[in-house]
Amino acid sequence: MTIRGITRVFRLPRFGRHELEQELDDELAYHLARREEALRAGGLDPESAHAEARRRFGDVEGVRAACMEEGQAELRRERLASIVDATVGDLRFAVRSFRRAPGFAIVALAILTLGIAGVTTVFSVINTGVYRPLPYRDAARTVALSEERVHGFFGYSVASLAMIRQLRAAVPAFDRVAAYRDDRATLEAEDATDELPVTDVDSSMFPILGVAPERGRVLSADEIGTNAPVVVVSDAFWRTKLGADARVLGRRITLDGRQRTIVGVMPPGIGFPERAGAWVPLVERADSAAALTSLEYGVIAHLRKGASKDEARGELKTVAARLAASDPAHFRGLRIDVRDDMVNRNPPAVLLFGGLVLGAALLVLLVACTNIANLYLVRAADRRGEMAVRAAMGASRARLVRQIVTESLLLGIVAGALGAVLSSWGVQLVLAFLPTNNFPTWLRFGLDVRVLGFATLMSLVATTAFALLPAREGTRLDLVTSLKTGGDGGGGRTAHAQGRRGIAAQIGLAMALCIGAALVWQSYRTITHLDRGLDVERVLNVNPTYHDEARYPDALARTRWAQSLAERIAARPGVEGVGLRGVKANWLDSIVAQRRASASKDPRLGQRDDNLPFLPGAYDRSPAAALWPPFRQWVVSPAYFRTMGIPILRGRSFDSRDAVGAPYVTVVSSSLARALFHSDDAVGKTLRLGRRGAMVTIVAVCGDERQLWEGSSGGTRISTVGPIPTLYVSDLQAAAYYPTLVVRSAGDPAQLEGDVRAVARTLDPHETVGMRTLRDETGVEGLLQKLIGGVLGFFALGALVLAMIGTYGVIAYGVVLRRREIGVRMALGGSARDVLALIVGQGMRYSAAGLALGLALAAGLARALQFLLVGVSPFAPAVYGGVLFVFAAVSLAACWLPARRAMRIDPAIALRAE
Amino acid sequence: MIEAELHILRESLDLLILKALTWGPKHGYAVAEWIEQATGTVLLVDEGTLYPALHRLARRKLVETEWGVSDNNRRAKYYQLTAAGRARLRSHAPAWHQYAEAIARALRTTSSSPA
Repeated sequence: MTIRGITRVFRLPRFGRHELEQELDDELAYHLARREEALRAGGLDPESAHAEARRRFGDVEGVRAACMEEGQAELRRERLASIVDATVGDLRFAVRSFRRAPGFAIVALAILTLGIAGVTTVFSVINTGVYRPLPYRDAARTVALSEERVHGFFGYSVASLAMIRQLRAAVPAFDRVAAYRDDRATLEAEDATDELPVTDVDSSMFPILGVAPERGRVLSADEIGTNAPVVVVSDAFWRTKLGADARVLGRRITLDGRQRTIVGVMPPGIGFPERAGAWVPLVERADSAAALTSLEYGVIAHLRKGASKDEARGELKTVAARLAASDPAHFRGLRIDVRDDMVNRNPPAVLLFGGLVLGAALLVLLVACTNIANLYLVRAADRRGEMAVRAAMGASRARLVRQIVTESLLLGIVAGALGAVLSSWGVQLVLAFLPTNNFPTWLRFGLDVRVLGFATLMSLVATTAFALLPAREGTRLDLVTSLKTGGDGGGGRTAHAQGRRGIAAQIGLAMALCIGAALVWQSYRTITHLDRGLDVERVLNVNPTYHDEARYPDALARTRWAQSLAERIAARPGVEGVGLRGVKANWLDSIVAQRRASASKDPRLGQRDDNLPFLPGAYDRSPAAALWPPFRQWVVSPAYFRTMGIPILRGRSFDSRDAVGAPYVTVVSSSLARALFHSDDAVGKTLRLGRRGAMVTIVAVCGDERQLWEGSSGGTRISTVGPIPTLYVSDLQAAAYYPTLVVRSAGDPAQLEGDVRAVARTLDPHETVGMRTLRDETGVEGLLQKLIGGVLGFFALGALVLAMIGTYGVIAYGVVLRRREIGVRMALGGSARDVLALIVGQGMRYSAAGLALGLALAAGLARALQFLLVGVSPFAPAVYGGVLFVFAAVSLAACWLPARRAMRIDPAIALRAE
Repeated sequence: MIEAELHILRESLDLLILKALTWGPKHGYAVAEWIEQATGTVLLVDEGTLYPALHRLARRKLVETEWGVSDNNRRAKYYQLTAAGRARLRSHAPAWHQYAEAIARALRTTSSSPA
């Protein structure tokens, strides 16, 4: 008796309820029949035997139901067991088949892992930068407002007190309007002074933010109204400057010379608006028209319950119109913009970098997926024999598909896990690249769990989808043919044709990436090798902060102080020269005149101090001067040109003759001279600055400083390198708003910092000066191009390698498929060269399609990247040609290597193998 | 109380079935006959109740089933002890002996305070 074998048969899933009933009925009928027989043998007549058998059996239906229940429970258990069994079996089989073809498994795993890790990394970074909600209470209903005048700053949120007062009074859509001012305060400690970003806030600010302090409390309305000596500090400040002191409340710090008591510490990640280290009461300066209209505030507003942003926009229009009507001099053409986020959430670096890198990563993932699909196609064709055998043994098509899906799921899960690990490193890597210390505090990077889930899901979907494609193909078998030809049932050819189309796609995508990267990298080179028209080496930029408003009330006071600072620094050893520069305020003698005028209470003149528009623009509207380009008006010291290495092309530099009382003189840069007079020969000519302004005589023409100009052409942003037309006047004749110093050192300029700080302190112990080398400052300019070019290049190389592996694989596989054909050709007298030409020619046909696709895609990509490009056309033939050449050469190699193998096919062996 | 009684009955029937099968595979009718003869028709009130028990034992892998040909040349379902069934019989039978003896002794007792 082979009972075990038979029970195994019963376990087959197709044993269902119907069969169960049938068996049960048979079994019970057998029992009843035997009992009847026994009773009849005992002498009973058939009828009573039948009745007696039933009586002794009892409730037949009840027994039947009870037995069915048992049987069905067993059936369910067995079905579950068989599914688990089969899955475990599938997994084991998958592992075994991967071990048989480790090359496939490793390559597929590596490709998928890299693709997933790349996308997850980038997405994690972008997600933090852009999509994560701000850590404030009702951020969704809080907006920032910006006062956009015809001339003025265009920032994320800039506002004047005059407008803010209107907003507070006359916009019913808002229930709260809060003004703030970004400030930098001097933080004094025993040994050193430091600079601290500080936000001055009004009494509505903390209620709108709605963030409970970690310790202590926020500033009260009373404290803010009276400018009480209190301060709330940030978590970062508390940790870095106060040593995370647990008894910090009540401690005092000195900000801008004023002692303030710490009453609260905010939680981590709060730095409203961006990186504030402390919050202090806002003092609204409303003492003059100038103070009222100065765009020195930021403003956020909270929408009243039920009010919409559109409602607010409508009301703001009314406010703007009223302001424009009441004070056209300042508010003509005023618009009040509503920004959806309360702080600027689109730090361009994060967005650009993230967006581009995400695009690149997705492209690489696409190449990777195409590659994987090719691998699967090839593998599916490879496994036709195996599949045919299994199908012949009775495995259903669904069973085979399930096997393939299990394999790809296994691959996807492992790749997802590896990708997660890799991307958590990737995020760190990206952070190392990004200048995070310049980022707002609400940006906190880390691997996002949701993103991880997304990536894993994506990996599963991607692998399964790409596995099923060939699975469908691979299981639609012509059994007889497949078995007869030992595996290649003709379907291999189909797979191969699909593979070749895959080549074209891969090469195209990789090439587009390479061209994009090359263009951006070229731009980076342009920027770093930019001739700025001056010598950027060994120059230290010194930026005094002029905190003490009592000490530095106006441009004149600041300029005087900067002059004396320059004098002292010039006397230090190791200093080759010191120059002063700043945006031009007023002529010194007119300032003196104004002082006299304001002493005689002439308000009209008093307003003009320090508040002239200083945007580049045409000052003289006379017809002769219609050619004035946008230009810079700078006040510089006589030593400035020599210090910066700006050549005087004609005439003489400023000197001590150009003092107060002497005729106004100016030095113009070459580009300005040419714009005005169509030649450099401008020395001795005169200009009028302003409609009724002063006449100035040109004493020299100097070289141009050059910089990157961001402009637009035909609707797209472009960057070019160009001169900055500049008009210089002497610091002996005019004051500068916030003058800075340039110090040329004999050695490393950074070494001078300590010296400069010490000199500054002897002049003003409370003053802080910021310092950066000019090299560092200009170094920032190409940073975006460097980062993006570098990362794009990295991805592009990855895509290139992937595409070439893909090409090689498909061509090599084609050679294997065509062994017989090649054997026949060679047997019939075809030369090895013919075979080579055949294989390479066919491969290159698809590569050529890929190259063409690549050129087209690159043109699209280049247009998208245009805003990053400097000094290189988005369609630069050299770049396109170079990349085209590289790709053509490499794909030729990828076709040639397998073709050479085909050349060496021995026809006798190839034909015998069939 | 009812539950406990049912349990006892079910357990005793299970044990009898396992015992019946110790001499080799039997179909349901043969098991019923064996029990009738062995217990003097006392225990199996309704023969039908045997079948849910058999199926339960099969589900718990104490017996295996097979369709075979019976002594009078008809198709019948045979039950055979598995190793687990044999082990079960070995481990449960002594307990039943003790149990049955304990009850019998108790029923035989005449004094109100047994020593």
